[in-house]
Amino acid sequence: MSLSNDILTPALLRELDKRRFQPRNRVEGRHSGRHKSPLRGSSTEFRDYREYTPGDDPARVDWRVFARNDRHVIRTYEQEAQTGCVVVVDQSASMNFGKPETKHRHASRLAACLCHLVIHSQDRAGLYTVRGDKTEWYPPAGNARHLEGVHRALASGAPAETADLPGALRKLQGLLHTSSTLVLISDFYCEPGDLFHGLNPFLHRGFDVHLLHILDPVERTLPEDRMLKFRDLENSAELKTDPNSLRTRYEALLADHLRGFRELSVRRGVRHKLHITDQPLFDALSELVE
Amino acid sequence: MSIGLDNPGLAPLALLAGLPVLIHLIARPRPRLLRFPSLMLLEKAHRESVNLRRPRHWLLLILRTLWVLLLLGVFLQPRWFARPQGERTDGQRSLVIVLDATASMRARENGRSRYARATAEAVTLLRQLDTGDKANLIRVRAIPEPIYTEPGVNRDFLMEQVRQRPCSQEGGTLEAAVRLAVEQLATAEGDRELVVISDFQAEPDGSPPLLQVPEDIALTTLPVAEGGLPNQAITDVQLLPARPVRGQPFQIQVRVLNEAGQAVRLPLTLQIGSRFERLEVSVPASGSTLASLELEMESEGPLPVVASLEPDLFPDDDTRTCVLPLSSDLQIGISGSDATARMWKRTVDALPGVQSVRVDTLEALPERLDLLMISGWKGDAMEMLRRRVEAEMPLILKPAELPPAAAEWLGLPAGRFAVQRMDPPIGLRMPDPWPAELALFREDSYGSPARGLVSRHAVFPIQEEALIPILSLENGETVWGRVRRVPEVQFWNLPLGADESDLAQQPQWVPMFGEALRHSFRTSERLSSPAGTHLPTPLDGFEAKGLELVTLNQDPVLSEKGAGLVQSQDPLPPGLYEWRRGEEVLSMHAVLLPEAESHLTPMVPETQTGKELPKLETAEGWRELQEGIELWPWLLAAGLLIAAAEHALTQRKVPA
Repeated sequence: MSLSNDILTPALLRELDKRRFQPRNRVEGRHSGRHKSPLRGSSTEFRDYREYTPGDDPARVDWRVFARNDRHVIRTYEQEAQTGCVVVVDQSASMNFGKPETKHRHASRLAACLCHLVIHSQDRAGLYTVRGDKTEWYPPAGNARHLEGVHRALASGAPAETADLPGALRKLQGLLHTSSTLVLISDFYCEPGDLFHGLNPFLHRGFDVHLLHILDPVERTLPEDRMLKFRDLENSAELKTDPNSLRTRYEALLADHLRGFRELSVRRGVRHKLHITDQPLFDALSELVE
Repeated sequence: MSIGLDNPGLAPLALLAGLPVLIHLIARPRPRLLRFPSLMLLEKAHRESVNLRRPRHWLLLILRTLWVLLLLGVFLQPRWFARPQGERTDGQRSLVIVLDATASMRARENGRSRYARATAEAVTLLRQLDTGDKANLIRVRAIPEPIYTEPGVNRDFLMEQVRQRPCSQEGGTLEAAVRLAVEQLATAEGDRELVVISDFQAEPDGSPPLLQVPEDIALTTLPVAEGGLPNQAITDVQLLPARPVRGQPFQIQVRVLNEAGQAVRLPLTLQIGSRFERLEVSVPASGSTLASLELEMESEGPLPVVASLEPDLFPDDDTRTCVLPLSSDLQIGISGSDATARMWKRTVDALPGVQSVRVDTLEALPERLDLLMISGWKGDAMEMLRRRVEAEMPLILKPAELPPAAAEWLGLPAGRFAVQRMDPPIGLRMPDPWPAELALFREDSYGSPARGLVSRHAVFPIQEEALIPILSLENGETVWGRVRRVPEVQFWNLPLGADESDLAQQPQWVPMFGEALRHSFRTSERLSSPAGTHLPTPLDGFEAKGLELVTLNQDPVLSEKGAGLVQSQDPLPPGLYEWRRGEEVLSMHAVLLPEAESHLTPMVPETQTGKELPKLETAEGWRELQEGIELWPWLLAAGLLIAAAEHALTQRKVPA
């Protein structure tokens, strides 16, 4: 557990103990669990009645209702399934920015917390990291060894190159067989349309998609220096300029960029959450954790 | 104009103008390197704002450089001079003021005449002179009138003379007065200044006044006209023909000028002797109209003609006079014995109101002769003829030969001219342009004057420009025309003998010849003269005893106090005058306002170099012109403005 401790401090672990993973939608899983499934199942919790149709087990006919109404109805019960949560972490070079903690470090801690909460909620957590055109895939599982592996992967991952998120999502699509919760943690320096093009298959399959948009405070407002030589972390392009003269326009462009993500998210039923790295960690997980 | 510096020693400090550029280069910030997640948005913002920021940076650099220059300018203490500063001596100054006293200066603007303002400005100029400075004043009249013969130190006398002497009613050119001023200044010491105070109306030929002054004389103009006046004037009164005959129709033509910007309809009153006529004249905007009145008078002798308009702001030109020299008939002398002379006589005798006089010897010409025609002239009595021509007697000459003196007088080739026979005979043609003498025949109502054939005539090697043609041969040779050098003389090379030409046999011959004779008389200058010239007396010596000059209202102007009155002593104002001896009217004379004085629109004077002349609004500014205007307060104000602009520019955010 030494590696996981780098990411999850004892204080954080104590905080995690107070919370539990709670997905927003009904979950569809093959294993029994504690989350309600969209399927009707065999738990003890009554759901509703439905008309008997040939093929139904006659043992499930409610004879009391038949005695009162002379109708054949069947009692249905909630299916409680075990759910899955796949966390996609952007490990592109642009995430290696921020002080005192980089966006990558922040995103890794978020992912680790989320996986920890999922597995401790008797569900299964998976991890998918994207760095350049390389991806690492930890299929969803629910045991402690898997969690340790996930933590180790998050702690050891070093940001580099440019992440092709839409491409990586297309690859991930073939690896997931049941719908679950999909959480993307990135700074999303791409066109919103391109990203949602990659997300479309997941949305069609009923995935509960969350976009955690990570930005550093400096990235939002630019530094106060008179003249700076900006160097792009991903492609090393340089720009010498006075950030004071650009700030207003830059902030407007950034607001437009975020608005693009927000509007598409609302339209497609995706939760988009902007998270600045100086905000409390669990603010980012408010939609997923209770 | 030029700029001088009070502290030229500080001029090398102008190098400091490069300081802002230097500071800009030295103080350019060394940018810190910042690794940034993505330049995607940053580059877009940069692209959009750089188009606004780059001109702003240049503007800032220019403003700062300008600010440093202006600050330096304040310390250099520049002065602005309206004219180039030569090598000025700090000692004596000689000033000549050319003061326009021509008739146009009597025009009233804003309640006072241009001349009143000009004299006030001249006095102000003279007051600004220092002790020891010399000055003179030359009044522009028909003949420039200097107060001193050379600049003197007594300014008080000059001021007194300026105030006392009234504006004349004469014409005059600035050019002549300026020439006199330059002559006076040529020998003057110290700084030489010439100030011209005038309304700067156009010269008689319509061109702007030309002021030619050597470069070592500082010339300044002070215009006193506040703008063009909507002046209406009578600029000319003419008789057509110029020598009307009693009982025969003639025209009085009056030219009315309108300088206003809109067309006007004016009542024109004509007084001819005791007869009054009234006409309504329509005159276009900024133009003129020729009003014409046809008359036939039965009386004889010189009659006064007074044309008048209703008075306006410049009443001097609202009345104009002329003398109508009505005679019982025209006396036409004919000299020569050839067929042409005989035909002339027959034709003249056939004309009404004309009487032919045979002239046997040219040396003994009759005293009264209105026109003389000489056939076969060989240069005899040339001086006598010359004097009579100068006294406005037209002359028609058919020379047989031209001696050198006569050729030089007329501008024609000298020599004896051979007679040439042309077989077949050659026809005639009208010259282009059509001669004014035969204008009546232009419409072809009376037949072409160029009908007929010429089979013999003398050969004159005359250059085309020597004659103004009236009739030409088909080959273009002029056979009848006015001599350009002496327009009173007509050259005739059209033999009228039966074997020479059939021109006199043509039906249009008599009217054509009569019409040409009527128009041989030019406007009589003997009976009129421009204001500002002295009237010649009709008699002199002993005969002048008892002679007096009176106005039309019989007010005496001059009278003979003893023998020897030769001419009027002072130039007379425009009007009609009579020379009388007792009850006898010897002659009548019209003194006229020069036409150019009626054009009251001011113009910008020109110089020989084409440079714009320094111009004073008032004489008060002359001292400033001498000492220059200190520019440092203006530079300081401009510097403050630029500093404020720079501050505003640096504080203002670039729009996103």
